Amino acid sequence: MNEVTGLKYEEAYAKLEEIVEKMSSASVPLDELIKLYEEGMRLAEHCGKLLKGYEARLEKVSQKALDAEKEALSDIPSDDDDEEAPF
Amino acid sequence: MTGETVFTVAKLNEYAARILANDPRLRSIKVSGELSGFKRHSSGHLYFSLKDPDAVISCVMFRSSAAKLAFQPRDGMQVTVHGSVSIFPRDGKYQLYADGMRVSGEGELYRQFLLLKERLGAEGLFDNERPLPVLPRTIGVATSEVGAALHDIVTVTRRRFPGINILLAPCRVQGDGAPIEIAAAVNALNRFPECDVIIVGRGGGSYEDLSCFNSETAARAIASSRVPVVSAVGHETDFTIADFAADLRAPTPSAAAELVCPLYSELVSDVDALKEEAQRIAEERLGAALNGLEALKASSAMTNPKHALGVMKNRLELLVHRADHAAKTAFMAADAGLEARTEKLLALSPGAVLKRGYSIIEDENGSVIGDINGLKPDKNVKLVMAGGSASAVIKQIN
Repeated sequence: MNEVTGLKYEEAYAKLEEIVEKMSSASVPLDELIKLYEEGMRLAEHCGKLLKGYEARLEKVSQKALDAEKEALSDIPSDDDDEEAPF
Repeated sequence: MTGETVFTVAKLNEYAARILANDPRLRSIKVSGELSGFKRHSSGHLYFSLKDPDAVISCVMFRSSAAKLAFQPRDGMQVTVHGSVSIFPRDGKYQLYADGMRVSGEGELYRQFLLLKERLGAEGLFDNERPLPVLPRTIGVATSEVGAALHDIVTVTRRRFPGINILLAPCRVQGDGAPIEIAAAVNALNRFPECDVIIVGRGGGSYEDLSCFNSETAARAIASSRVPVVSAVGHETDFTIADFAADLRAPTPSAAAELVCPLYSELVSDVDALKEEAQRIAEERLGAALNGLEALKASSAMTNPKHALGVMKNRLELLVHRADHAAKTAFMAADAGLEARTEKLLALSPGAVLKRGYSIIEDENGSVIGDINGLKPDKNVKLVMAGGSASAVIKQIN
């Protein structure tokens, strides 16, 4: 069960496709077919949950975080010697 | 006034025009300035002014020359015009008859652009062509907080997928500080694990306005992004270095949003279609087996162990009830379309049939035995029931 709920949408959807594909084969034994069906339903449910789980968030990266990135970018590595200086 | 020639206006204009026409410098001259009041007449002739901070001159370029221009002139462009100077006799207006025009400094800028493109390309910075995620958890957007680009992206994504999450990393998208801010924004977005794709760009603008997207700093940040980047530098025709560094180029921010944000209704119906397909297959395969079950149920072999079966049935019914309840609770969260289909499927599920206490008997080849005549003492069979299957040997036929 956990195996399913931890999946990303792409993964769950791909697995669901794979399961339907496997089910299509006439050589699948009946008990296996039932197991595949049940897993398929769990995956479909998981996909549905992921689709419904969005919150329409519109957020902004903080100025502090952006400033830190800017600083990191302007830090052109000079001499390797500097790296030896411990705190 | 005696002895002096009196000119008509027409004569004066003609005379002045002739003087200008006879000056070798004015016959072929290059003038640089800023384009303003640019108009393309329906005849195909171009009318515009060239201006400096303190001066202005009217210009005309005839259709034959206009057709040879390699770019679309726009107000505000710095250009160098070649032509001759004369007077339009009817208006007495002195003007520049242009027969050629190029963007000032374009040669040098363009040369630098090509050099940078070649250098970064050789480094492999333009090799990203990763597929976009089917369903991004969060869409990162690196653009100006106040521009039309952000508005367009939000509008388009909300229309396609109302619940989609957007994370904006504000940055300037023109001017000197823009390249490093664009790079910082892209890098910052990459630190959010939920951010699965990034749109970087701005709405349209002049070539100069877009130049920050031709910077090495911005290109490097885009190329080294952990997640795919879609560039949207609002310009239909000109490619920027950022476009090359990105995984995918969109002509406008709206187009980028279309590419990045899936259609909610489409995803829901894709999942539904797979569910229905699984259901159809299961029903088909079980159809024959269930027919066999009915026959078995009627036979004495099935009615004999009544008590044991009753106990098992009760236990199973309890389990089914609980599973049913859990499933229903989970599906409450799903939308109406999903819910209706899901309940229908649950009711028809072959698993549910088995959970009601039925078993299926298969022979060693996996064929369903649907009749008592298919059994004989010492025969190896397989019992398929809720939760799994078991091997068994027939002791005796009653």
